[in-house]
Amino acid sequence: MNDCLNADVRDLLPDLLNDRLPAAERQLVESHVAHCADCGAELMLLKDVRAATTRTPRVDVATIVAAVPAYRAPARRSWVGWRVAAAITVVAAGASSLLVARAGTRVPERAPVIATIAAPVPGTPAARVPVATRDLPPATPRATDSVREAAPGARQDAVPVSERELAMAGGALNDLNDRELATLLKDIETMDALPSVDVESANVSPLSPKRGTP
Amino acid sequence: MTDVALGADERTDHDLIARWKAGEERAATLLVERHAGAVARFVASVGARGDVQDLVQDTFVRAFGSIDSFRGDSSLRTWLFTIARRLLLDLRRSERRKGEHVDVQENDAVTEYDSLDAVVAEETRTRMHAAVARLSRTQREVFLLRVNEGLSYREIAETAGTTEGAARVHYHNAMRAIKEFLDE
Repeated sequence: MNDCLNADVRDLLPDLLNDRLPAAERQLVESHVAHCADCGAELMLLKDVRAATTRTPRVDVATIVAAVPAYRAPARRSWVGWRVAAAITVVAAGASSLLVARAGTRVPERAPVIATIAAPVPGTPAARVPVATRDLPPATPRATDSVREAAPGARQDAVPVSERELAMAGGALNDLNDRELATLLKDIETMDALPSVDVESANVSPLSPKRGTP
Repeated sequence: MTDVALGADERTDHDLIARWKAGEERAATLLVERHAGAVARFVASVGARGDVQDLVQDTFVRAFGSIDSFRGDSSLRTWLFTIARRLLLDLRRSERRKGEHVDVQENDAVTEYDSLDAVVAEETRTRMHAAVARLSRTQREVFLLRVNEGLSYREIAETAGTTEGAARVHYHNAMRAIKEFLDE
């Protein structure tokens, strides 16, 4: 049994057999098969194959239909939960960023406070300043107000009291009048935290021989 | 896929599916009646033995259970064949694990074709039967889907999980093998 050289028609023979060709195409294929012995023989072979292999086993349609589940529309995907979760995540991330940013801005605010207080107090040893920063007495209301004006928006309660007063003392010292300045100096002098320093002994050179030593 | 591109049968299938979704149980019966025979014929032709009823039933249960995943890219019948084929492969793998003799390998030559023994009576038919039985499983599956069900190569490719070109090659190789067997 030979193969027709018209592969296109050969490809369509099963479609012709199963009546799946449009009318125009069917007419063309039938016309070719009518004049082509090879295609005619192949079409007969296909019919024989189908007759030999087509066996429809009996199936119980009622049993199958009884087993078919009832239709259930697919549940609509709810994105509400995801949206809420996303919103919570965004808010949490924002809050975290805000806290981190505020924490980051506090450090530079504190550093200049100590630096500025070290310079302007005349006659005060620089080494005492950090010690005094922790135990400064409450400043006058006016001085505190000036600090608030100097740092608008800063959270007053977020900064320790002693540091606030230090900020006042360093940043607004020039705003104090003579009376307030005198009060502040008096307070400083009466601070317990300041070590009692003997000026004379402090001025003694460590290289001078000690009393009573030969 | 628009209605213009659909054949009359496919339009009917889509209409029946829509009616079944709307709650018309009769539509399910009509769909089963339309395709159960073809599905049974298909699974029998590719090697199902006494379990045809169960396979066909499982096919429809799976199909109706996931009807919303039927996109209509292929015909409903092709989709049913695809499901049936997978179920049959699963069944064969299960039987193989149990130690039963089954044909699992895609390209193994098949030397027996028991499901057709009762049908074959005449000598011509016996020879055809033998010729088909000599084909590899994939060749036989593709060839019979093309000849008996009239599926296109694209539909066969979807059903058999292969490409359109490969389906065409399998078909022509099968045809050549059958001719050579009959010419011997």
